[in-house]
Amino acid sequence: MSSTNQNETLGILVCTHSTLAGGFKQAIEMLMGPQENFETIGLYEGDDIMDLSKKIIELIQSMQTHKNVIFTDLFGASPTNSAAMTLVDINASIVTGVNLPMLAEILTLRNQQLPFEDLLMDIVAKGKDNIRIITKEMILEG
Amino acid sequence: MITLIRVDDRLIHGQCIVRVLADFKIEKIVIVDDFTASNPVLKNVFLLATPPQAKSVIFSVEETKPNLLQFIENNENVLLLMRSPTVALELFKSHPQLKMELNIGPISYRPDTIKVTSYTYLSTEEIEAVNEIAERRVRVYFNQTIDQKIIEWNEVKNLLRSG
Repeated sequence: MSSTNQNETLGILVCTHSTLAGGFKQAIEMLMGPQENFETIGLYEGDDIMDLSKKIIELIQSMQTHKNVIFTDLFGASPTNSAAMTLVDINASIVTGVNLPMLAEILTLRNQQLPFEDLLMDIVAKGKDNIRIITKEMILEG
Repeated sequence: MITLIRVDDRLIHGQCIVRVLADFKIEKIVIVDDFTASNPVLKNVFLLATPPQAKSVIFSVEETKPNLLQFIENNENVLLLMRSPTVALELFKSHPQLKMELNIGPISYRPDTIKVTSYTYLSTEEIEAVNEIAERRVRVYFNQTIDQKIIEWNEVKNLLRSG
């Protein structure tokens, strides 16, 4: 794979069950406006997991990005498994359990030239940190 | 013991890990698939996808046969998982002592297939395999997870013939 014509921006692909991935994109664009090198794909009833792998490779290659992060919804599930199968062919890492905070974080930080592994650790921490419980008591009693 | 024999062409996936493994208290997943067994990348993907409460082993059909009795007789709850009814037929033939029930879950669309349920597409060869399994007095039923509707093979086979 030649990297001479590839842009240095990190490519982001969200791959989920059904329309969830597209919903994430709409939510992100509502928060942050249109994003480049940000693709989504869904697995629907009747879809073949090998076909999904092929489509993931095509989408990643269409972005012409040197490095990529694939976000998936559920560890162990087909969108994740299909994405995992593509790692032989493309330059990417997978982050499972995608949520909006981690997507917003990576889209904010991806141009800051952080080491790739550090960036991934950072956004995973952000994603986990945003999962909180707010109880009735906290609101009523402070 | 083999708790569930299931045809599901996505093998280990969301529905499987979220519901099937819990519903049947599965401790071991035996994946029978020549293609997956011969492909180190796919093998790693499915071993990685196995949740911590279960262990997976991946065999070709021929590797499965000498090991199957051990899974039938042991005390663990085993899920016997394959991508196609043709594989199920081969195992019912080689091991008559298998549980006489076959659950068919999602099988994806391919160009030469017929839609049998909203989530199951079967080729002519696969329909013949299911017929042959049913003729061996195995109860064949379509079901994704236990809280969803069960469709018996007996209900759909005549529709396939007339359609």
